[in-house]
Amino acid sequence: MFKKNKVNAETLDGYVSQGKWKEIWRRYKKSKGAMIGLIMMAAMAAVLILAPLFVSYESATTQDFSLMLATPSAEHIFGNDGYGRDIFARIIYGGRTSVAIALIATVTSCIVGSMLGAVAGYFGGRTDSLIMRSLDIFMSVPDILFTMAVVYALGANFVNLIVALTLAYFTNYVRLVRSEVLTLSEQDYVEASRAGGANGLRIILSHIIPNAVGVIIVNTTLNIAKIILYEATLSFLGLGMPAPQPEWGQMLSEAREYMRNTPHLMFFPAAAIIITACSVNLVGDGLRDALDPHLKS
Amino acid sequence: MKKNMKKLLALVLVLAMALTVFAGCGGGDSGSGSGGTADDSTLRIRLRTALQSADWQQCAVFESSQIIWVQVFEGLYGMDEAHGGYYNLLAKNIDVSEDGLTYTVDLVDATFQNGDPLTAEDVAYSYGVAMENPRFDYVTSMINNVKAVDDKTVVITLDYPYSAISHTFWTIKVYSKREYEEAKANGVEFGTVPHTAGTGPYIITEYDVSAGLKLKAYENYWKGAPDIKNVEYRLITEDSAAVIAYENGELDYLTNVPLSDWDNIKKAAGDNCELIKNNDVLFVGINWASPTNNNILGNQKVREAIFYAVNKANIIKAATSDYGTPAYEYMPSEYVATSPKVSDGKFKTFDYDKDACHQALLDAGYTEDEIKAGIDVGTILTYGTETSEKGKAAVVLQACLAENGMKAQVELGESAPITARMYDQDYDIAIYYDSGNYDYNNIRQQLHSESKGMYIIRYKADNSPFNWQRMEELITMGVSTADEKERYDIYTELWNMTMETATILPLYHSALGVAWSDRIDIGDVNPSFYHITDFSWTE
Amino acid sequence: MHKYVIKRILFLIPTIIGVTLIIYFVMNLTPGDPGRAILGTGVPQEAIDAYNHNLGYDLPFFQKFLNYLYNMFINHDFGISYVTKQSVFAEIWPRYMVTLKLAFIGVVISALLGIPLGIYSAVKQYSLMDTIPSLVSFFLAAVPTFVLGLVLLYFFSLKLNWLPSYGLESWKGYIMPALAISIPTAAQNFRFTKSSMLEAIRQDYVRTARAKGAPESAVIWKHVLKNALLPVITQIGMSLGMLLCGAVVAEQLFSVQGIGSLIVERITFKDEPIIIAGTILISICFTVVMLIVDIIYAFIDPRIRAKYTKARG
Repeated sequence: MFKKNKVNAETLDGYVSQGKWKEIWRRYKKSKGAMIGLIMMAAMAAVLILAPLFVSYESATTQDFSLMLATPSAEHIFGNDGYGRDIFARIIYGGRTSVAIALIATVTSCIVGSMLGAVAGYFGGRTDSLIMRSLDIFMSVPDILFTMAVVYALGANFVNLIVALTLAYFTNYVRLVRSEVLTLSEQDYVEASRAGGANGLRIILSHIIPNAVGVIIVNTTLNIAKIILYEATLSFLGLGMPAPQPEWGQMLSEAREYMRNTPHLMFFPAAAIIITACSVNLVGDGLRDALDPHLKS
Repeated sequence: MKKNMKKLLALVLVLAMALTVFAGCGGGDSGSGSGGTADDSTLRIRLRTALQSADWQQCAVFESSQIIWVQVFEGLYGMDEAHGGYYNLLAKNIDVSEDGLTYTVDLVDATFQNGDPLTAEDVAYSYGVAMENPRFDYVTSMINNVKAVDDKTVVITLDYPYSAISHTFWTIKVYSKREYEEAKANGVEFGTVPHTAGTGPYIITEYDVSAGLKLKAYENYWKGAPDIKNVEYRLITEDSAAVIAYENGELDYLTNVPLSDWDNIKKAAGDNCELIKNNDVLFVGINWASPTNNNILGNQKVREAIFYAVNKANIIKAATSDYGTPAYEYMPSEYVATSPKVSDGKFKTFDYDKDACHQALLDAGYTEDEIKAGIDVGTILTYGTETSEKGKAAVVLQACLAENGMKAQVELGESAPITARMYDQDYDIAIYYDSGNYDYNNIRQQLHSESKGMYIIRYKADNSPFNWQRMEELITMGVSTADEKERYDIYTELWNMTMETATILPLYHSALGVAWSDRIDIGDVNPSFYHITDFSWTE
Repeated sequence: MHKYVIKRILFLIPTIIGVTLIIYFVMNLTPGDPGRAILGTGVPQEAIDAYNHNLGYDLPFFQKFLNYLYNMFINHDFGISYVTKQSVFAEIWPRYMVTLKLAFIGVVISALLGIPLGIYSAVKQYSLMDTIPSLVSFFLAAVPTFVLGLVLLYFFSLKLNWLPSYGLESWKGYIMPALAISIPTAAQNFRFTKSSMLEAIRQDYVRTARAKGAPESAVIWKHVLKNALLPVITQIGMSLGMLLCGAVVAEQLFSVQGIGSLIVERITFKDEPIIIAGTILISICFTVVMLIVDIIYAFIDPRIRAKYTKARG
């Protein structure tokens, strides 16, 4: 540390992170569950991205009432729903919507929350207490009620769902990143660049955020699963994505009235949600363990 | 420190246990059991949404009116669709003057649930209250004056002859003036607590918006004490739970059975269930004045193309599990005497017809390529969730249009804001619903510009392509004509004109499933209002 | 220490005002007006305007908001329901109690299920008693509440006919809604406790204690549990939020007349007084629980205690 002033903080930073990620990956690979999760997630992603190669979007919305509530067959491997639409195609295209909402809402809430947290932690003092006190108020309204109110007020569609979910979830990141920043601010390389005259925003962007990235990623991953479950709840309450664009939660709530006589309508979207949430959670847990070496012996 | 923590933990645990125990017992003592075996003399009916009010004027939810309008209060007329519609209730006899403006009503010898005898003063007072309530304008606006001439005689004078006055006599219920005024004087909003201000066969004994509702028979009911002495309404919000409750013998009467579960109900109920045509209708309405896509909906041919594209059979399958009936009439003619009958073939109808649809689009000036690419006809607007009948109908309608070369969006929302948009003509294509019409004059709310009802298609306008003057003339004629045959002809002409405009398309009449336990006989099933007085114990 | 507690309690007031403002603001964005919603079809616009005017609905936003705050704090009056004309407070309070009761039963069940299992599986890491609960909790945490609820309903009410399909008339009625809301939370509590335990087990003082030859059970009870359970207390408080989320669904599914089903029902009628008051009451409950958790935490966490004791002295 006696050479502190001569070390270029950015090079050091880069060096540290490169080695760090290799080490993390090595540790991640060791966990069987995490690898299973990763493979499942990759498979899921591949299916959703390459969806147009398997089935056309039309088959997800084409109604054929001669096949209304039909059970799985060779032609329609997951059967047909209450409008005679192909459930397999709807699962695939519904997944695109569901996962897209979850991903975008997670990313936006992460960005909003992380920035607020970084600002609060870095500047401290009045800025900090202002942000944190408003946050306390925000967090006092239970997520579900808040989301319900926002979706109800703005109307249920793709963008508004994302807005509502972002508003409900950004709070997590503020606290998380703030405490991370408080620890990191005292680190040498941050002090070094501060001494070098870098301004606050630059320090936050180039040092603090990259270094808090581990914690953020773990939380982001775990949040995706939560948000997918949340979409289902909103659909149940009649506040989900509007028809006829398929979405998993909406498929579940449509299947509800048929559950007794034709349970496959509910089985497949429920399975899709459960598998996605599980694989995302497995990856999240794996990442957490890999990033936090003293958890694993 | 360690001790502190242990103590704390112990305390938390003990509290937790206490809470569980308290919670467990708390409900236990209030219970009539978990449902399986109820008190033998209590009739158990499912309630889907909490009773809104015990005041008949405040019941906007239909399920609430089914209770308050029939079991608790009574009007001059009663309503029984299964047996020919209106019948005399509190009015023993009604004399109409030659000019059709004066109605002299003799009252029966009834008593209110509070013991007071029914007097002409009560009737005049109740009509006065209702006439001040804007919600009842649609049935009171033609009344000039209601006067009590002696204890048992009321004279009702109208501004103009009004053939559908029976609907008013049924709708307006009679309060006990004394009790209604007393409630007001005490500063209690009438209807928020149990009362005895009606003459009906059942008295509300327990009313709690959250807990439910209990009724008991009014032993001095003027038509004789009802057979069933106690009624308990059980609040079950989830449809599938209600079906299970019925199957498990926890309910004696279940109306509006979810149609997707009708097979299960039939299996459990055997002969004790019936599925009838409902007195309702689901429509498509087109706003011809909508600016969307250069006022495309202003084109008569495009509107016709849309109607030819509608596959009612598919809509019925999706929305009613195939139990609905395709609709051509505004009101089902079996329930409404003067309704034009489709079987007479005297008005235009639209049936699903791909070729006619295609031809209409070509006639409208679109090329084959444009049709192939899909012509944008705007947004299908309706209220309710996507699993509601209207929501499902919208989804099928969209697919029907897509199949026939037209593109449309679907927009769903809560009823309050969406219906407001419909009244403001802020929509392209609307799916909406009407029910509980017993007189064809109700079509006025749909077609007459001065109507304060569901006038969502603006026939009267400076640039209107329609002969709205004639339509309104026909409505006025219908209202002031007493002869049923003449009215039938007038309304047939009116409905034919309406269909020619290609702005309103009836989709289907829904089905109403009713199931009851083998402990009771329920008489004939009525689509809108059931009468507990018609029920009796079997054993 | 007292200073800390008092400060935290005083902060409740701005929190409640803030929550009210947020909810009030969001609800104000909603389209439609109460007059139209209540009077329904067939009513002239003038009558609707007059109705809205009587409710004070046409006032500017901040005036409405201040009136509301004034009535809430000074008169303890949440207004009159647009739909039933009953006092909002009178209508909401019994339902609020129902929801609280359900949520607290949920907290207890999920804590009793999740925490001991979490401790046990951390202690026996990699054994069958770790893998099985871990897998099960993984699965259950991923099932949407209403699917779980529907499965319970069909299994226990329809197939077995053991439990009533609706209502809370007897203790049996509580079983399904309580399970439906507490199972996902229990799964989360389990996972949280387990990782908290694992973290504590790796700490230096535990190693030291082991090295000194202390028996394993003593190490776990004396050193690990004490430290591991601290964050779990916060988790239990936080789980109340999750339970309330589940309660909205479970109440609807099992016809429980709680505040969640009330809000969902009244949203259709734009019954703002009910929706706003319901949301505020739930938020207050949540805030108070979090406050209690924080205070307990402050009392038992030596670091926080030390900070405040020093600050005072």
